[in-house]
Amino acid sequence: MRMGRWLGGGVLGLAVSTGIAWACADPGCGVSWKLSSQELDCASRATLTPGNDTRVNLLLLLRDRAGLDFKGLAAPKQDMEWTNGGDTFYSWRQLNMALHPGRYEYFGGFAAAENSRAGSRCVSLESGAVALNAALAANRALPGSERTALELARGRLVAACDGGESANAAPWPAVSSAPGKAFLTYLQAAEAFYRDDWDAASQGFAALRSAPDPWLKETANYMTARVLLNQAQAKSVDEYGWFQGPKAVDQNAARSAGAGFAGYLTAWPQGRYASSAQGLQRRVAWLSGDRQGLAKAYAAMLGKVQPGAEAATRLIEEIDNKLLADQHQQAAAKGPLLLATLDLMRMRPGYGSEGETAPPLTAAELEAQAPQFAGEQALFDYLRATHAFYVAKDYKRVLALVPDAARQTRPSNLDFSRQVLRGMALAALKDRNEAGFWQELIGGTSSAWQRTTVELGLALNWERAGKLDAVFAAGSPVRDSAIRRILLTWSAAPPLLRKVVQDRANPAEERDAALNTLLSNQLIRGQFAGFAADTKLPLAKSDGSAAIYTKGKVGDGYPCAPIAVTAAALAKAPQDVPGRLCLGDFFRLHGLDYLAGPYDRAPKADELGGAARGFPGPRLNRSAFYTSIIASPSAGANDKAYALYRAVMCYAPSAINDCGGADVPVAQRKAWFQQLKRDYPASSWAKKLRLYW
Amino acid sequence: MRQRWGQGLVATLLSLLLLTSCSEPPGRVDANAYDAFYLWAGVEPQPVLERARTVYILAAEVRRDGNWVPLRAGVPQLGQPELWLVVRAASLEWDAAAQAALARDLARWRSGNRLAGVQIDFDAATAGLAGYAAFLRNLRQTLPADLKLSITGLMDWSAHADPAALAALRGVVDEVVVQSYQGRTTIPGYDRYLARLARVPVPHKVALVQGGVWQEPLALRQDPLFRGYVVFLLNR
Repeated sequence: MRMGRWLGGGVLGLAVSTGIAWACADPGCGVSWKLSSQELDCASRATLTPGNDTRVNLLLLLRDRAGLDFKGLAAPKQDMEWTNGGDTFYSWRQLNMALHPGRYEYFGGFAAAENSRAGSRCVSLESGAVALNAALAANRALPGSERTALELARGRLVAACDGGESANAAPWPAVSSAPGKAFLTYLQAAEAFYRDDWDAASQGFAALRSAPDPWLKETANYMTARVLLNQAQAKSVDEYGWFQGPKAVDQNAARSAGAGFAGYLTAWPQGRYASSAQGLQRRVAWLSGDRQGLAKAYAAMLGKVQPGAEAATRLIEEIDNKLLADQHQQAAAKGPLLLATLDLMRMRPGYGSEGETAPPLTAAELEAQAPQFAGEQALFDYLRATHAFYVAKDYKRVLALVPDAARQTRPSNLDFSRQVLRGMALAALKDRNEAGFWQELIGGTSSAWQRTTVELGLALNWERAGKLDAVFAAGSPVRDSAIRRILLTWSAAPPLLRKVVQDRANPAEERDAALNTLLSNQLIRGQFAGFAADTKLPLAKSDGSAAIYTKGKVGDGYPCAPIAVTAAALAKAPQDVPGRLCLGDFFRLHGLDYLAGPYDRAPKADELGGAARGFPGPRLNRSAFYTSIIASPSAGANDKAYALYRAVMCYAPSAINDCGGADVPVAQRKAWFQQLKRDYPASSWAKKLRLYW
Repeated sequence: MRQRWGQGLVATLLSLLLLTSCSEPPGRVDANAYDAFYLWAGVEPQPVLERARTVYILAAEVRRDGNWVPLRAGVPQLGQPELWLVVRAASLEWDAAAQAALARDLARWRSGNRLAGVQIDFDAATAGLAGYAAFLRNLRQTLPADLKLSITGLMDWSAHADPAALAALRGVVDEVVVQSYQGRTTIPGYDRYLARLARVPVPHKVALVQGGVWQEPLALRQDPLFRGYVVFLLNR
């Protein structure tokens, strides 16, 4: 009858949570490609920051205690573009999937017990059968026939878990021996437990608390407290199936349950239910509002847990859920790890502005914590420096608090965080040694995440210093494909893009992306001569994204030449009517209408790719082609008919303009439709168009 | 480009993202203006639920190994509102115990409720839609005939899914509820995706996140299969 443990076990669904200690603020779930991280988003960093998931910060600190780094680890990739943090950012889930491969799942964390009853009282149904049978076998005074009958009778418990009526159950077996009667009492109490009949369960287990059989005696003592805990929560589930928490709990019963678990642990400190009883003691503490007791238990457990073990992850999830996310509990936090994690959280912008009880962290309050960080000077100085950086914006103080130690090898998470913060302060002060600092720091990094973090610092610096060429030079320390891709997409100008395309030392994906960026931007911006020339550049991948400019479809009704030929014609005569119609078709057929439009989110000025612009200025749009051709006196009849057809189709079927440029009123669309039908009734385009939108 | 947004969209989105207040300013999802809600695990019920006409409650998840894990402390007792039992699925390879658990929970949730049916929340990649449709066809056959089958959908389906794969959902699912958010925020560029929602050939709703950025795209109102909104509630 081993009960599911509260810790991570989700008994009564309570421990289930999406976890993170969110403030009410809603800063977005994307990834900001920069080093500073004050606001919680969905991306955590390799450094301790206010914006990290609190669970990540706590685990980074905890792993330092055991000298554990992340060497050799890389987070599983995310497939959603808006949360793709490359190899630099990761989420709590991704981190744990990397740390515990095959064990931790993106949905739901660690695999549950292997039965369909996990998360309910009945989780122990199967393992309980094994334990009971072993206990029956171990009792020499129990007659064999009674033993068999009792084993079979346990089937009634399965029915109870399945919600079957007890009236339909097979009758209890007749037993006459003393141990037989005791085991029968146990089964009846257990069935009552599974049927939520707390009074009967309580009476049954109470009768067995001094049973001669050692298994019965231990189990009955443990179960007595379990029944009390369930009684305490009996009226705590609302009409939505939601556990309403401490306010709906019977506090007397909760106290008795706590005493019961304590008594059990005193009598059986290494007992078969000891770990469950300890977890349930924390649940009792939480239900009773014993904040100090809970916080003390967590600080002690953090000191004992193996930082690399699954138990560390489970513990941190429980602490986050029950302590860090709960404003009323936070003040009770004990120990440097919990305090540091809370301090970082309280440096988030807007913290405390939502009617929360905890205010944002002030410099004075932080200084007053000095005694609690005795012996932890490096950590305490890091917290002070972080406060100076994010809150006071006193970058010189950061440099004073964190001396240069960029040359250390395999730095701990804390040491690495300190140096990255120093580099960020150098950047904020526009110190001319910043790039050199990152290059020194990169050599000693201990993990892929640390390395890409430094690469990001260096790439940000070089982009802002106009030294993009250095990022893509042979032997560049900036190797991360995602970082390089962002710079190519947003910041690289045509000469650099051409260089990247032609340098066969670069990966084929990167060369393909560079060529696609070059050609697509030239085409949508009307740089036709450059486009026509650059279509002759070598294709890095025959089926890559840039292949459309040499092999892609150019039309689906209106006759068009290869796009390079069309571009060459437009280079000579930008107003060429068939050329513009074909260019519009190419935009439409290859999804180029939205590129560099208002929905394409460019990086912000302080993010990677936000400082330099490879292709400044506006782009062309199809709407303008069509309205100009419709108004042109020299355009041919078929061309005009096609322009009218396409102008109307820009709004199909959503009534939203898909062609770029401003929307026109419905009256105008109707007028185009009527003009097509009236002036070109014989054209295939007029026949094809049946509606306007 | 979009007449409701124009060039200011990016700036507007960014400035809205900086707001930190709990009361909902214009352009944000105010749950009080809606009558259908998602109640997920770990999310505390809010007073707004009292006027709900439809509630989707997360009951359980199926893990990657096919195991069924219940996520609610008790069986809801809602009475009048239409209730959907939601199952989050990390896998489509459900073991027999998971199938049995669903049947057991559906039976338990019927009592005291107007149970509409079951909703599967599975992030089927756009390219994997055909396989998903096959799973749903099988699931449908195991459901009691009076219960409906709903699924959540990704906005990406509307933009990029193969029309044949979308058509395969017709006659298998009764509705698709398309999620417009990721985590706690509306996905940037949501209107671009939703403009094409009419491509999804089964009745569809749009799920909004409480407090998230939102302006109704014009196209939705003209979409004959659009059936309204479901607000995903958050802990405040």
